[in-house]
Amino acid sequence: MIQTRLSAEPASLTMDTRDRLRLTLSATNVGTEIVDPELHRAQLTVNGRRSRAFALAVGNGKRESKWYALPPGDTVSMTWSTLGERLLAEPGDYTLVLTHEGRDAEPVTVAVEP
Amino acid sequence: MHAADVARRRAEEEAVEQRPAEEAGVPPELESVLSLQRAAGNASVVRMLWGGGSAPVREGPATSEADEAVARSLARAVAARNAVKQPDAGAEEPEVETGDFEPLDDEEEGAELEGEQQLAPAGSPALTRWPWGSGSGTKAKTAKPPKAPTMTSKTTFRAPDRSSKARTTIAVGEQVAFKGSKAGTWAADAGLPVTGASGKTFVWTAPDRAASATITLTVGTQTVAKTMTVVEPTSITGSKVGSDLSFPAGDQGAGMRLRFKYSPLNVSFGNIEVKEVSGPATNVTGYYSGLPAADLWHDSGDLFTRIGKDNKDTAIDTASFTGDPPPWTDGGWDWVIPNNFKTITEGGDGKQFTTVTQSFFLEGPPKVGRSKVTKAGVSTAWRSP
Repeated sequence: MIQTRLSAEPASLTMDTRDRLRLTLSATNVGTEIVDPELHRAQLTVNGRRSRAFALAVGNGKRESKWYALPPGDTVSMTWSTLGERLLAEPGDYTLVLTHEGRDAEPVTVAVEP
Repeated sequence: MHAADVARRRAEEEAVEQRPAEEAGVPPELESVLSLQRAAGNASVVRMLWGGGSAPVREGPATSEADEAVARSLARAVAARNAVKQPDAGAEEPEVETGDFEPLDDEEEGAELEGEQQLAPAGSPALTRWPWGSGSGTKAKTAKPPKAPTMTSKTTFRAPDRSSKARTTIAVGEQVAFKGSKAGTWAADAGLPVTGASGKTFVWTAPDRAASATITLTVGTQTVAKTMTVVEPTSITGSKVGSDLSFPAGDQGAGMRLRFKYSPLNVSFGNIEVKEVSGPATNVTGYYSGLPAADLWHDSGDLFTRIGKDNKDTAIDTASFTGDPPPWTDGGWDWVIPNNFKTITEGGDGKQFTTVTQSFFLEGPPKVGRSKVTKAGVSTAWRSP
């Protein structure tokens, strides 16, 4: 079984500093066998709305071998640092939820000041 | 013995007695023997040498006459021994001054022997006179120009097309070991190091960008050079890894995993890294044409990944899209992805060498929702939700 986690830093931004957002997805194999976590299926909702930008980001690009075959107890992660302006369109409070294989990871919140 | 013979012999001995022993043909090493004989008295030896009892018997040290007899006898023995060149079992090894010198390779040893043979060929008068020969018969030493040095090279990596490691076309950042026929100083007009310590080998790394690099070995006044053609990657081909990606039934989507290979294949790009550069979508059509550009932006992660010595990327790429909601209509877009390379010792963002196009296709009725992705010459199968 794969356990996913989402983190967003910093948690407080302005419109001008949205490009500083670092969004990290982590996946841990809590099972007993090597598995393909199939992270290309992961979805992100921002205030309840699916993000196409994140879907394309997680579903494309070069990854280390663990991304496709994760040993038991091991964790693989990926950080994106160019999604801020596309996920956070205007000032406000945002709740980001990562969904993978029907399970939601712990939501994270980001505040964007004008 | 006849009286006349005795008189002539006596005269000869007297003449010899007036010269130093060495000049008379007595080797210096016999002088100590003669001294001992003189001190101990050698009448019996003299009698033995002269034969019979006719030799004079004297009190005290032996006379010069007896000395001369002993000397002649011992000299004959020494001469006989030297004539057959038998080593003296009890003798110490002669001390030979060799000085410091570097070992020569076979070719150089051959050259040296040839030179020696010119000075003293086997059986020559100079050799047979040794060690008492004056050397006057030695031939004049003829100056012969030294052989020009030669150079070979061997790349660390074998190229994917299995061409020889002695190739002179190499990739940026490739390492090459040069070997000279003789020790000398090394220099390179590009790549690193620029100079090498004096020696027979020189390990060199090609520059970060395409170039013509000349490696030079200097031995004395002679030089030998080798020119290496350094090339950059030019193109990328992809091959699928495993089967197409799976998605939940009912969801739109298609995808694959692929591994890239970098050409040309007659060099090894084992010392470079490559990355895809993020960028916007182009050729946006149909279903996707009304979306904000930010939604279709290609976010590659902009990470460099190492290329293996077989020119294959060490990382596996994923190309996919999924989750677009119905109603589905025809549409799609392209990512024309710039690819940058840099050598493993280089900083910065590298240099763009090619682009790879990734295309996304979505179908409307009648095959509603079918999707496909193509990239670097390979494609997924059409997949229905």
